[in-house]
Amino acid sequence: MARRFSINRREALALIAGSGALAGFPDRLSAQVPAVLTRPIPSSGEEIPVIGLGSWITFNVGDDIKLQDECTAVMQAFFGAGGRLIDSSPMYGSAQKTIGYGLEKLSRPRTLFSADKVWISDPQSGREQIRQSQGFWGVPQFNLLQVHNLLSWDEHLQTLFEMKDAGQLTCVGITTSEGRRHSEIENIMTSQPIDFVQVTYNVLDRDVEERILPLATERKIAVIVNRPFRQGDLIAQMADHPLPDWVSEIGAKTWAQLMLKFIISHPAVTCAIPATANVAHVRENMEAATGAVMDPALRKRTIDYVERL
Amino acid sequence: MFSPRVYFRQIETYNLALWPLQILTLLVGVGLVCLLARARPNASRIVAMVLAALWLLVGWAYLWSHFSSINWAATYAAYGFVAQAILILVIQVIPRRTGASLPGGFAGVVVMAVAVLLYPGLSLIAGRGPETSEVFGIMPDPTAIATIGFLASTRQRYDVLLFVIPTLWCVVSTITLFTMGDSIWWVPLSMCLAGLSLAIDKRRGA
Repeated sequence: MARRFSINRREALALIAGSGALAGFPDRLSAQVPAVLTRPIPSSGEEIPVIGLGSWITFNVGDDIKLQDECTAVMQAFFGAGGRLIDSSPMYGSAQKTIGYGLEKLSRPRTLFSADKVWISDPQSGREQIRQSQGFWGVPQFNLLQVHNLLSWDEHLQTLFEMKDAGQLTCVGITTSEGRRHSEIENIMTSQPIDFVQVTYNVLDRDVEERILPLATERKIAVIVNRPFRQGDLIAQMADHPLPDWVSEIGAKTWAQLMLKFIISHPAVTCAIPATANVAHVRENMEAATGAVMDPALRKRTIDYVERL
Repeated sequence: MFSPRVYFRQIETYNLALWPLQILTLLVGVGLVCLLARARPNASRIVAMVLAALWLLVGWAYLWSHFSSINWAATYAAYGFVAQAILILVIQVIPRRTGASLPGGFAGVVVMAVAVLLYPGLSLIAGRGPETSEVFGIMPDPTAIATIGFLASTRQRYDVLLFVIPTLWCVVSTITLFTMGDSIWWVPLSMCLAGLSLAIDKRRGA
C-alpha cells in the first residue's frame, strides 16, 4: 500500500545542513521536504519513496567535473524532493564515482538508500568488487546489494547472504532487464530468501505482470522497476501525441508522470528508478510520487490509450 | 552505456589537452602518404614504424587514459592497440626484407590519404564542430583506417594478421556511433571495407 513519506527532524536538519555546503549549486535543499508516496520493503518494513533514481548512462560522465556537478545538482533536486533510493552498478562505467562525488558535495544525506550491484563472473572477486564500489560511493555499507543480470548469481547470493547475516548489508536482491531470463528469476524468487527483485516494467513491457509481480507479492519481495521509459524512447514516442484528458484525475501533467504513475500504481511495485541527468526531469519524476495513483480501471484505459498510439 | 553528449565532450576535452599535437600528427600523416606514394626504398618500413608508435599513443592516451573512464571495455581495446603496435613491429619493421609495394597499391595510399586529410572534417559534416574532430594519430578511427590503407598498398609476409585489429576497431566504432544515433555512423566501417576490398583485389592480382 502506498503511504506518505515522512522524515524525522534530525534527518531533515541533516539534509538542510548538507545544502549549506553547496556553494555554487543554485538549487538548495529546502527545509520543506515534500510528502511523497512510499511503500514498505516487505522483509524489513522500512518505507521507501516509490520513485528512486537510476544511474545507467546518465551518471557515466567520466572525470568531467562540469558534468559531475550537473549530476550532483540532479541528486540534490532528488533528495530535495523527498527521494531516497539511488541505484547503480559496477557495469555503469563511472556512475558509482559520480554518485560518490555528489554524495560528498551534498554532505552525505542520511536519507540515502544506497542500492548497488555485484557484477563479476568470478565469484571469488565479488567481495573485492563490493569493497571497491563502497569506496566509489564513500559509504560504509550498502542498504541493498543485487546480483546484476544474474551473473554467477548462485555464488554471489551466498556472499550477499553472509554479508547480511554479518550486519554488513540490509537487503539482498537480484536484477534483470528487458524481459531476459524471467523463468530463472522466478526460480530464484521461489528458492532464495531475497528481499528485492529488479525487473523491467512499463506501460508497454508488461510481461512481469503475469508471474513475477504476483510472485513478489506472494513471497514478500520488494520490486524495483528499471527502464520505466525504455531508456527515453517511450517518452520520445509519445511526445507528439496529446495526453489523455483524464490525466488530471491523478495529478499527472506530463507523459513521464503518466508512465511513472502507471508503474507505481501496481500494488506489487515498491519503487521505479528513472535515470536522468536533468534537474527539471528529476523534479518532474518525483512529482509522480505525489497525488493519486491509478485504480485498475484507469490502468486499463492507460494501456488502451498508449497501445493505440 | 554513455550518452553522445558525454562521448563527444570527452573527445573535445581530449583534443584540447593534446592541442597542438594534432597539427604534428596531421603533418606526419601527410608525410607518410607522400612517402608511400613515391614508393621509396624502405618506405613501408618507415611508415610501419611510425604507425606502430601512433597505435601505442592512441591506445594509451585515448583508450586507456580517457575512454576507459566511461567504457570499461576500452581497457581491453587499449591492450588490442598495444598488440597491434607490436605486431606491426614484428611483421613490418623487424624483418630484413622490407614490404613490397603492390601493383596498383596506389588506391590503398588514397584510402590512407582520406583517413589523414578528410576524416577530421567529418565532425563538421555531423554538425558537431571542429572541437570533436578525429585526427590521425590522435584518435583510433582514422589511425585504424590509415593502417588498412597502408596494408592495401604493400605486401609483407604474414601481414594479413595486421588487418584483424583495425577491422575489429572499425566495427566497434560503427556500432558505437550507430547506437548513439550519430549521422556518420556508417563511415568507419565503409572506409574499412573499402580498404579491405582493395587489399583483397590487389593481392589476388599480385
